[in-house]
Amino acid sequence: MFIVVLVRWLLGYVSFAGEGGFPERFLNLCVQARIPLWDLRRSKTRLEGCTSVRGYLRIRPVARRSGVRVRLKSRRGLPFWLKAHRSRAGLAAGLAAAVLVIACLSTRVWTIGVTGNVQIPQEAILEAAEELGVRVGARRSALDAPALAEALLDRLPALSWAAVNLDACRAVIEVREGTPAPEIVDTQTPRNIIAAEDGVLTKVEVFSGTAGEGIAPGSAVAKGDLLIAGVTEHADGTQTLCAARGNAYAELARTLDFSFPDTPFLRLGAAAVRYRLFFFGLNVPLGPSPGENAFTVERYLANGEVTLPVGLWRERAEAYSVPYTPQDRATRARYVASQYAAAYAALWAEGVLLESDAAFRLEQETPEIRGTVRYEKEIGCAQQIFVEKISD
Amino acid sequence: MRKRSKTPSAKPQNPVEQAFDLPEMLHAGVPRLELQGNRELALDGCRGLLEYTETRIRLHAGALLLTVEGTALCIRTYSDSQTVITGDIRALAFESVTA
Repeated sequence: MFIVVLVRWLLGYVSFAGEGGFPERFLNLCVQARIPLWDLRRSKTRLEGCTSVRGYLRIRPVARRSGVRVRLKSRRGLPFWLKAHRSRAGLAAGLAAAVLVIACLSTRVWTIGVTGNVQIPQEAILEAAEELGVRVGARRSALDAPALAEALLDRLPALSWAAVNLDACRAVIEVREGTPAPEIVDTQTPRNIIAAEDGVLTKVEVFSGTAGEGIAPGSAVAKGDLLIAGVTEHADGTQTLCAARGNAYAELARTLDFSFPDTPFLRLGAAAVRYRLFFFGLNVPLGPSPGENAFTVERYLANGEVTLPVGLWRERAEAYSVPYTPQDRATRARYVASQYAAAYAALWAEGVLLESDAAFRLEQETPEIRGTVRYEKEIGCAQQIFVEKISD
Repeated sequence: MRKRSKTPSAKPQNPVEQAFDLPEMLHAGVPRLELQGNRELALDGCRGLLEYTETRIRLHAGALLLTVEGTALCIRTYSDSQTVITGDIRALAFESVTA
């Protein structure tokens, strides 16, 4: 029934009222003349109803024959609406443009998501996918999901499985990372373990080979000294080669001397910013270029789950060209302290800190931190034994 | 002289139709009514409108005269193929058309 109502509205219809004469004869003659009628209502003096536009054009002779005086009550439907709004060409143009834009936009991919990655950054996967054609604005018909998945595995060997799923205008890249193979310890190549740095040995663990002469906890070693030998000499004078394995821990001392430098710093002199509008694959610059060394920050409209292909990019180029020397003591002291903290953290990453006797003189005009830090770290490194075969 | 029957059902049926047990509704001149509660009446085979008021509609339905009585009667559709009457239908009356 809705279809009938819709078709009548699309074609247009009129409602009329008839008075006097013989209404029943009028209706019968309308049917004989193939004039469609509907929604007929009878009151004491009037007959009201609806008919098509063409039907109303043919209703006059019928009304005359039956003595009914017919008059038009209202015109309804799309043709009359269009005629009333024909001066509003923009409305129709806008509607047509909207339909066209939606039809075109529906054929492309506008959001790309990545799921299943743990160690591999999302940006790396997206970059690899973009090189294969999976990018914002790509045509959906041009994307072959199985082929893309295989190509993605070739580009990213750390992945063990990948799939590209196209859901309407969204592409979801599902990945599973492979378990890295454990490092295979080379137990065949003959080698020694030598000291990589100077220090005093605190612990020596020999898994394979023979500890060097004089190598024991408490002995001082220099860089290059033999710690664990891969050559074993037997009583009968023969020698056996093996891959020496073990750990040698030593106590090392590091001097940390930091003071405020005499050379001036460079302060931010000029900064140029430009915004770019990103809209469904279009990148529209909103100003002059800031320069070659600009870094870009991208922000997109998102609701937490779905990121829309609409956003604003900010490009900023900074030039540090103004000489600057901090005058206040607090700034100088903070600088020296930050240098010391960075070096201290680096030592912690290498080994275990044992003792620190640094002196902090931050109140004076030229702040400084001087001292020595003692720490323990593993100093053994492998050195291959080169063997020359003598032919018989 | 044989009395002619006045009811449509007593009309002698075509021997071919009788052999195939075709229903009488396929006969020309026999109207078909479809009533939904007392709110809507669909009539196939209407040949003309005899009377139309707010409380009474009389239709020429082939071999029958159909009278629909009720309140707020409205003819939703009126054409040579189908007539649909809506409203609060209180009574239906049938009269045979005398030859």
